[in-house]
Amino acid sequence: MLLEGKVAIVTGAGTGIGKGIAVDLARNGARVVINYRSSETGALDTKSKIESLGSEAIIIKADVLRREQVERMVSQTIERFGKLDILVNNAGIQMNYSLMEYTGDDYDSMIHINVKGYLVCIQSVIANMKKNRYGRIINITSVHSKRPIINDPVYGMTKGALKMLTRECAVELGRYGITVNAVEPGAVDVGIRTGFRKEQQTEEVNSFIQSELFVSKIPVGFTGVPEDIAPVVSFLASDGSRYFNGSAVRVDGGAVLI
Amino acid sequence: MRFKGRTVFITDAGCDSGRAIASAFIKEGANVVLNSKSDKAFVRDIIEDCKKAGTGYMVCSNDLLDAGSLNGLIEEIEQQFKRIDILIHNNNRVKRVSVEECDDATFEEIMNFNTKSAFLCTQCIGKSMMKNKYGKIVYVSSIHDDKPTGSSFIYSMSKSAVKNLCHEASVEMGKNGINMNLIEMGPVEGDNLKFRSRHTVIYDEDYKSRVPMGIARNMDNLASLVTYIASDEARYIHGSDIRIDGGFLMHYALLEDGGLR
Repeated sequence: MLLEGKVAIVTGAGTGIGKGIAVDLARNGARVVINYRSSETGALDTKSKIESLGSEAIIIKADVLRREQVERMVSQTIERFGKLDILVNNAGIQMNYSLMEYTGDDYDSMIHINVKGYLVCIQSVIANMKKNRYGRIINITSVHSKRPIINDPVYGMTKGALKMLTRECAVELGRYGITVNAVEPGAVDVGIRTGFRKEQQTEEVNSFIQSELFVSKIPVGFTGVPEDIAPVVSFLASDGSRYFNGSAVRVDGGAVLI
Repeated sequence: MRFKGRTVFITDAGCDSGRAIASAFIKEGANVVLNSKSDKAFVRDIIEDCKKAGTGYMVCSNDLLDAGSLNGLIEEIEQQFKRIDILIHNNNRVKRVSVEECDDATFEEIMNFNTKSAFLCTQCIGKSMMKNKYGKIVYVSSIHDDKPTGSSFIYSMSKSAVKNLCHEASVEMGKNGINMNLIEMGPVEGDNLKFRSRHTVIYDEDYKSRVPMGIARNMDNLASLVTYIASDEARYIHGSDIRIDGGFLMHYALLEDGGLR
């Protein structure tokens, strides 16, 4: 199996793309740490999906904004599995305010969660990966690291910062056997999710991204699901990807081309 | 005299690029608002220039991370000069630090100084410009918004975020008559000391030989480009990234995935 014997942490693995990634890593033989901050039931669901595949997973609650919680997650992972090979940085938020609607505090939250959260997780795994001279770090970013999203400019800014975080880490960490790459999903249907806007705390289905109008703007003729993103991550997490470093793989059905 | 009667707001006006840009605007008749927290020695020279040119000036050191302070300043500028026509965001603080060793305070400092200031200036000054349905914004960025430094990763992250801010804002604010672009400045004499890295070869001892047009020794070319981009002749240039590096990046161009230059 592609990831036989490997140990992976996936942040934000209780929902959406993170859940899809955790399950796919496990399907390929990895032992997976399911990280979540608030979606406990989601994390439990991810775990049971993995176990039904006959693979092993544990759940660790940690807020990526809290360095001590992230460091504890990493040391618990190593205690349990003896090492850490793969980090998938996936936890992030979107607020859907226009530039003029954004407050300074909203801006700070976006930068902290979407950018600093990734940095803290990377910093927390470097020591162990360096020791083993092996590491695969995959940052889930977005097509909006390069293309404007328009309805959430600060989201676009954070993804731009992650583009450079990925490249700089690739330059700095490559010599230690640690590769750092990005996956840039386009629109992905994650089913039920918490409302985009901060004030919308209810769960809802975003039916727009399955609408005829929306799908007509995607060359492959359908809206992607987490299972379309996950295999790319599994490949980048595998030994076979060793010459990939600082790359960004766009997975969007060709939508940015039209 | 392309800017007679126009008012230009320049951030970090005390640094080399800020001074060069301010001088270029003054020569063309603009009123200048110079914000700087750094050494004020430059102010005397600039004031002399303004008096000679007969243009208005305001020197300030407002905290660009505080929307309240910024809005207060905008009101003052509007009282004195009626309006703000042009914003030059020129904050480029570089700090050498590795990913492995970076602490929270360093991350906050660079991201705030370079990026949050751009966000708040665009928002607050943008609102003021929208009242007049006219505005020009130029972000002075760096080739390192795309090309890794290997030595100062927060700088490149912060600049990449500003680049995306420019792109996003160009879509949202263009219809209100606000025109914005970003300049990616390449090497200037001495940048090898600023960016030298054991992880990259960009600024090795031969770096100057890889600038086909010869390494820039000052910011005059940058200033000429900024004034052109901020002029009405350039109104159809919008949401663009304009590289000015003497051809330096041609040694590295188009390495992968259409983004890395």
